[in-house]
Amino acid sequence: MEKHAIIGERIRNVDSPDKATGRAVYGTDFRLPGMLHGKILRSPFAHARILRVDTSRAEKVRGVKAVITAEDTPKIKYGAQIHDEYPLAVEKVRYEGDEIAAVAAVDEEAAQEALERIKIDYEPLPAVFSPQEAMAPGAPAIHESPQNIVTHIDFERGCVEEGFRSADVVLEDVFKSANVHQAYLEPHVCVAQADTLGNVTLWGSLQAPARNREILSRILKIPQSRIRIVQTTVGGGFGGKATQLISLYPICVFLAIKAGQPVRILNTWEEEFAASRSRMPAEIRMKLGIRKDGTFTAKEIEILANCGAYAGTGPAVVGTTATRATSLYRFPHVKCKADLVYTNLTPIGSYRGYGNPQLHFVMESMIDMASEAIDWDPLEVRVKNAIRKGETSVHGFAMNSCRLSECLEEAAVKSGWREKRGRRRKEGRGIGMASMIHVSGNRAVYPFFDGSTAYVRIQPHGGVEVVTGEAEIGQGSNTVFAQITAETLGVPLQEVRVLPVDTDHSPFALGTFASRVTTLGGKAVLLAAEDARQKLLSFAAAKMEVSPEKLELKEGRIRIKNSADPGMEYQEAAKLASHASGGAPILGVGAFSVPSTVQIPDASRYGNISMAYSFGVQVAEVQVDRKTGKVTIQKFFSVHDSGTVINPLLGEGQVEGGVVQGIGFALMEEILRKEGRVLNGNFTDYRIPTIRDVPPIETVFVEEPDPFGPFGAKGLGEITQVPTAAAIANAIYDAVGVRLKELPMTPERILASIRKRNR
Amino acid sequence: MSGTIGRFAYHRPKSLEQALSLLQRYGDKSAILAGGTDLLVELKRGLRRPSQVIDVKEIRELTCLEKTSDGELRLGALVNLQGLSSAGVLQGGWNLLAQAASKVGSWQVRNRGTLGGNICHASPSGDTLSPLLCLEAKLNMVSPRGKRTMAIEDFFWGPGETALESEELLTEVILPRLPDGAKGVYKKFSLRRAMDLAMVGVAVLAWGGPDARRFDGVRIGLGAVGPKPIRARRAEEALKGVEITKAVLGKAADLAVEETTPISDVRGADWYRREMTKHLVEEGFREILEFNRPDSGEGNNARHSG
Amino acid sequence: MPAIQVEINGIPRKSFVEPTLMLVDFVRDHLGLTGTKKSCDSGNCGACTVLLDGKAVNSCLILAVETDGHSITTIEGLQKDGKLHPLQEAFIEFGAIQCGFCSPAMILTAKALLDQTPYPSEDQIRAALAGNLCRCTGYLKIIEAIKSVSERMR
Repeated sequence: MEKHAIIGERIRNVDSPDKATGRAVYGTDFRLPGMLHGKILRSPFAHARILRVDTSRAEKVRGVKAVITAEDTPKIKYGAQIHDEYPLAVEKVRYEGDEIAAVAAVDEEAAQEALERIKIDYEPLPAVFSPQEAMAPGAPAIHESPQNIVTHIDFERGCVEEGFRSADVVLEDVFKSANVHQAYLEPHVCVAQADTLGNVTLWGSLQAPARNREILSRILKIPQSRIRIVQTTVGGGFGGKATQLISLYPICVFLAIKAGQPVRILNTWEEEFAASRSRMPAEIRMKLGIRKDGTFTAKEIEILANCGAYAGTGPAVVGTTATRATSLYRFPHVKCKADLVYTNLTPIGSYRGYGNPQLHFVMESMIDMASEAIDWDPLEVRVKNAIRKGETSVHGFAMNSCRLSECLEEAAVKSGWREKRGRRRKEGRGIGMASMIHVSGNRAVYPFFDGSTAYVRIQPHGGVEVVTGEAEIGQGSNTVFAQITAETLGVPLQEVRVLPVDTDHSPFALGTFASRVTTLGGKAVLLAAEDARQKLLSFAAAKMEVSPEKLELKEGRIRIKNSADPGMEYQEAAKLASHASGGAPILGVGAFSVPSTVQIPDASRYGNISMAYSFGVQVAEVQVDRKTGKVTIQKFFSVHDSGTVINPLLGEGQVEGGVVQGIGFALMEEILRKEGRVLNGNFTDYRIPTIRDVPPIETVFVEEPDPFGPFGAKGLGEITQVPTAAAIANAIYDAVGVRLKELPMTPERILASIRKRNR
Repeated sequence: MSGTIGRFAYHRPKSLEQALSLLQRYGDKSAILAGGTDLLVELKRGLRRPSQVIDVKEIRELTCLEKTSDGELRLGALVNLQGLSSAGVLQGGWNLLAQAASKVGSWQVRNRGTLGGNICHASPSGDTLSPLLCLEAKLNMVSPRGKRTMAIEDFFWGPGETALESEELLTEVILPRLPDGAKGVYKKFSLRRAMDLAMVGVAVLAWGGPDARRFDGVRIGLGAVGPKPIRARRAEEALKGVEITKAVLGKAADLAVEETTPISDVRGADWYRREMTKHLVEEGFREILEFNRPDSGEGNNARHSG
Repeated sequence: MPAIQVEINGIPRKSFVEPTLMLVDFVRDHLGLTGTKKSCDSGNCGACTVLLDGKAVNSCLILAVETDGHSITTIEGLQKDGKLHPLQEAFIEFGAIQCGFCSPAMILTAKALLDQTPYPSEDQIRAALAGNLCRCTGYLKIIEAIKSVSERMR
């Protein structure tokens, strides 16, 4: 590996000082004079027709400045992928929590009182809550889709019948995963302001401001050029604040327009659980064929996914479930049928992993089951079938870099796999593993391109600015961009500043999702920094009367290579360049599009959707208490192939945080509902891991530079919680011999399984 | 949690008399504010709408933590849970209460939450409640009409419902003297290792007996498995004076389960609560027996309870 | 409207507040100290933690009027003469901050712990911080950061 000055170093997050001192401004910290408090009136019914809305009494409440319904909007349908929702309900409400009206008032009390005085006549309609109910004949139509199906996927590659015939063992089983919430600590928040000329500004906790602006423009019927979105410091997102723009944002804008004053809306946690976009629950049947020599012969999956009341990013999420995990291994024959179905529940959305964790749970569990059936170590089955560098997966993913096999071996050695597996049942201890794959960007998500643009500006006063639209959400992208710039330019890190994302100043960017920011955003920053460097050295060379190749820029100093001449500070060169050009800074532009080998999938979901794929293996060591069913994770290992890790300190942070979210998904989290109503919409009864629930986690990066990523980097942000539940499920099986097929694997479910098995 | 908590006037009486006169004046239109960790949540949820809030934290008489001349322990209603969990005076059998207090919520909640508050809130899963039943605590209450004392077992009427009248203030909790060598254990079952309300809470207390495996006195308190905390008296009888073997313990634990009426809710299913009740009763006694083993260094004679 | 005298980060202040004003809103809206965050608003996440007379408490469950005559420390009060508190330094150094929303509260709770128990065991650290939820970091680097400060003080 090439030796770098700060790439690969454990550099402190550049944003941390502001966060450690309380100076960072998050959405709720942002104030404008005259700002009003907004509140949303939400449907108390899971499914109902709206007969009449009377806001007259609400408008009379003292301190109320605006009350709006759909009549105050252009009534334009929108959605991240399918346009099936209105910001405020028109004619029908489709889930308990659906937005119908909103008020803006001088304080919360007045807003609350006004909300209570809005009179709505409903005609309740029959409601359905499961995909089976929703698809059954005679089920109420939620939208206009036949059988309430949002997306149907059906493809076969090769012939699975033949594959199963040639197998020595064929296993088939059904697995379920639950609806879980991202539980970012900062709820959705928006401050909106509209002027009398039709210009709108919005400050919000958003992961993809430029894409959000596109959607907002459609809803408001205001051109994008008149909309400005400023990203405030984001208190966690994990996908929940990405491209699907929940109604809270346009509602806030409509209120601001009507009130003539700025408005802030902030979700309570009840509202977050009832009405923001959480993980798609799925029931997945898998059939797997394996030969005695350990090779997989065929894999068939049937996915029944609950979309909730609106499509959101559901179609892409279920598409991911259908194709991604499979690309870990060589499968000669695969078949997939998936139905994403509307129900009268909270609409689902994106959550770190984007449909991938759901299938990993199934596939990685079944691989262990299949291994047992042929009496093989599941590690060896994975090694035998692991996809390799240079191969193309059954879904068309081209593996330009892949160290999956090395990760498997490393995970086995580090965890003591071979010594521990199957040996500690008496004490109720077990070890389990699961592999992972994820993308670095996803071409399927935005029809027009995948890539990124950045500017690197060397200002006349010195100081280097990085301008990008890719969003920092706590994962450390600002630091990574600063490192890439400092390394490429040859200036100290402290000289580099990544500017906040503001659609008035930042180039268009697709945003933070699909683990694309370091890889694609970073690539653009790298190109921009190279361009800036080249321009700076060109100018300096002319000044010093040498050819540019004779110059080097290191630690902020431009000098002639192999010469005693002290040269000049880069700031000096930048200043002189600006004097010579009417004040212009040195402006490096980096515009990057993914290579043409990256494709939008075809109708059968086949296509090389990403420039680079990341891999890895997680191993869990657990202790299961046979009397209570409680699981204690003793130790956790996460071994990653994400190419070059630009900042291992931040990389570990992504791993540890992701694993702990994965532990929550595996063992304790579920949004519980009865007849469409959330029962546990608070942090007492929706339980996320506390500091006492986390095991020691050892992270290993198996680094081999990817040919395309900046300095060889690949994505890392999401993959970290993709296999976690499967690794734990496999460890539980090793410990006590019960196979859990439903998440979360609560002590109750585990004890019930143990008892059932013992009968 | 909408954040709007209604409208009320705030009072901060400096003495018990002042507090009582406020209670006399406002009665059930008032709410007592001690640690606030229960009341403020109720106000935010709109479950209570008092027009007067009476902050009792400056009333000195409510803060005592001392042994009386009779060897009883007198605890002021305002003693906070963090203070209880580390109180040196809670030795011997009384340590049961310290264990329970240490398991409530979080450090932040324990720094504010009070013993009196935990009792008056009367949540079926309140951690201090089943231990207090085991310790046969006596509650001192004061109202404009005078004082009265009540056995804790008579105090709880149902979830959130107690014998406390609208003009009454809980002032003290008295823990009677326990026989020497009494030992107690509080077991709390929850999904996470912190923060959770108890899915099941079991308090066991035992003392005396001719040898390390026999007890003259046994008390078992169960929480979160019925509308109020209960004493499992039949189970207690089954363990008094007999050698505690695995079989005896198992039978007694079954008897304890029979006295429960757990519900299924978002925290757990009824069958599982019954299972965990049995399990925790057994675990609790196993721990006491461990303590009592001659070689464990914590024999029957080791500590005074009074 | 009652008047209250509260010492905020070492500075005595007199304010007039409605009895219904929550301490977290007093700190954030009236004093403009937005380092303290509001999230669950029910005492379950710890993001609103401040130190009241040196003890870590959830400010979303305390009325501003209750603090009359007491002292409050918020995250803004940790720096001294432009220098960061060792815990702030350590959190930065060890990568214990990602989105940062839980960080001010986490740092304050850690400070309250170390002020009381200068050399806590890992168990004690976990017990003290159990009421501070974090969704980004997985907590391990937070524990490392606190341990490092404790070790340096030895």
